[in-house]
Amino acid sequence: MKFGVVIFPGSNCDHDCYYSIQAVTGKPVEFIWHQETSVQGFDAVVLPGGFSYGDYLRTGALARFSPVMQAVKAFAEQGGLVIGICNGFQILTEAGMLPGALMRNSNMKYICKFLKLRTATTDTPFTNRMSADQILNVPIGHGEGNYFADEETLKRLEDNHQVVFRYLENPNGSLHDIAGIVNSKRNVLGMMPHPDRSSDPLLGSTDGRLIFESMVNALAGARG
Amino acid sequence: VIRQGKHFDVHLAESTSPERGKELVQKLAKDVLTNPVIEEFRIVWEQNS
Repeated sequence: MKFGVVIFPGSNCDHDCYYSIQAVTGKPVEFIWHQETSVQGFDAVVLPGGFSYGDYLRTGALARFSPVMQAVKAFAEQGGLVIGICNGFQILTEAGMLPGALMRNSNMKYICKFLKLRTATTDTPFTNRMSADQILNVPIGHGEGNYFADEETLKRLEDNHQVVFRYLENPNGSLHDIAGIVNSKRNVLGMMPHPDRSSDPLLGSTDGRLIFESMVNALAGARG
Repeated sequence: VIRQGKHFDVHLAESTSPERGKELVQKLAKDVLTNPVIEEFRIVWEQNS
C-alpha cells in the first residue's frame, strides 16, 4: 500500500503530508513531481496545500494543466483514492473532479486557526474510522475557502450525502457550512482544513490522523 | 453600482484571421481565464489601426 504526494510548483504542504502520512500510517510515501504522466503503483494520491503556480489567476486554476493531473483523473476514474487538502481541494474543483468552486473568504481575509468540524458522513473511505457526527479539531489556513455551488448542485450533494465535513462555526462564508465534499463515487475527497497539520500531538491535535487511518482501512479492505 | 473584475489584454499575431482570433479568445476565456461556476466574461474586440 503506497501513498503518493504530488508536488506542484508552489506546493508548500507537501512535506507536511509526507511526514504525517508516514508517521500515522507507517506506509511508504513517495513524492510525485507534477510533470509525471503516470501514478502507477500508488494506492492513494494526495494533492497538498500551497499556492500552485502562485494562484495568480485563480486558486488551483493552472495546476489542472500539469501533466500529472491527467493521470490523477484516470486514477480516480478507476476508483483510486484521491485527497485534495486546501489548495488541493481548489485544484480538484478547477479540474472538474469535484463540483463547485472556492471563492474568497467572506471577510476577504486570510484565516489561519484551529476550528471544529463535524463529520457529516462516515460512509466514505476517508471517514470510516470516525463515529457519526464526530467533532474534529483541525486547522484551516486559507484566503479562498468559501465554498460555492448552485442550488441544484448543493441539493445533489446533500441528497447523496457527499458533504463530508461541516464547520461548527463557519469561518469563510461557505454555503451549507461545507468544509469538505466527496465526488459521487466517494473516492475523491476535497477539504479546506488540514489533517496534515493535526496529526502530531506537538501541533495541538491528532484528529487529522483519523482521515489517513480511514484511508488505510479502506485500502486494506479493498485488498481483502 | 461598482463592480470588481479582471481585465485581460490579449494581443494576436497580425497573421491571425479575425474568425480564428475570435475562436481562440473565446476558448481561452471560457477554458482558462474564467471559472464558469463563479464568473462570467465579455469579450471586447479591437482592431489595431
